[in-house]
Amino acid sequence: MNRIVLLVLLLTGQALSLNAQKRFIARQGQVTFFSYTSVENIEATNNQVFSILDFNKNELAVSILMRAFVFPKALMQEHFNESYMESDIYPKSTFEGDIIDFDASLPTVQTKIIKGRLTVHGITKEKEIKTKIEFIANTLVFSGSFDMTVADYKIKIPPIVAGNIAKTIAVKFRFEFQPYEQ
Amino acid sequence: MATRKKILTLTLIITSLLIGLVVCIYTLSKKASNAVSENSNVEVKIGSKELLAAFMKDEATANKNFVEKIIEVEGQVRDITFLNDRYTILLQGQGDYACLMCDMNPEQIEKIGQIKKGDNITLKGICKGFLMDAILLNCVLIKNSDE
Repeated sequence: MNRIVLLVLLLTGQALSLNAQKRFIARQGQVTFFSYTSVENIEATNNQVFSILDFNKNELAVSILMRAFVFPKALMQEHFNESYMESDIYPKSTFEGDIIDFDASLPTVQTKIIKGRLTVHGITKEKEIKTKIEFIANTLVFSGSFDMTVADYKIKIPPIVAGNIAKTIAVKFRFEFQPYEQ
Repeated sequence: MATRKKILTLTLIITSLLIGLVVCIYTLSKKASNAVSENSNVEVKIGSKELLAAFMKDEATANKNFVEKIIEVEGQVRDITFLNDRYTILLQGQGDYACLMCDMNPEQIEKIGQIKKGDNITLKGICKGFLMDAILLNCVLIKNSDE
């Protein structure tokens, strides 16, 4: 009985703290993308993705430096930044969206759709991203994955390497949010 | 005449092969573009507060001056984090919030263990730009003044 009371107290406490704290940030979000083809598999990770979460409006914003993606081979990274993403002209990709039907008072694992606009390579597209939202050790964690089509974002791949790069890229993400104290 | 043509063809083949070989060696020997070692040449020396201030004042100019360059930075440690198998040292910016996020080279683990919050340190890494914080990747520690 005591355990149940304690559990209820803990859960309500967590829900209350979430309600009281309306804005959260993640400075070191992780985004990884994968390109699978029969010729080669390419994977690159960025561990410095910035995100801000506002529970007043259930809004999420993400900003990512394209040059901070780390590839296993230097040449891949060079082609990615110089030729395909044109990182000098478009240094950042962004996502801004609304968390649909999110209930901050429920301190359980929730899977929600975040509906918004994804901007990559200067092109903005509507995007719905399924996201798992959970509390792990008092940290609010958003994680999930989605696919994006290279052609949608006008990323030009030269015909000679077209076979090495997938037409659809799989993207995986994980953000650990901390209360934003400002 | 036929001999001359043969010599010309052979010279052409050998030249093409040599060019191919040079390109191959250059490509293969090229280090990862994030590679920073203790011997890497530093392109810019600056304080963490000044670097942050430059990005906050004029991001486009700061991008031109610092991005993809090996930068030596001196600053005070605000925090040390370990996430996704990487250590990150956060160096103090001018205000309370924005800071310099220094992703550490995994070979630096022993040195990171000796660093504490509040220490004044000097490190170098490759600058990638600015979001909420300025970002330096693959950093190596040069000096810990509080050791």
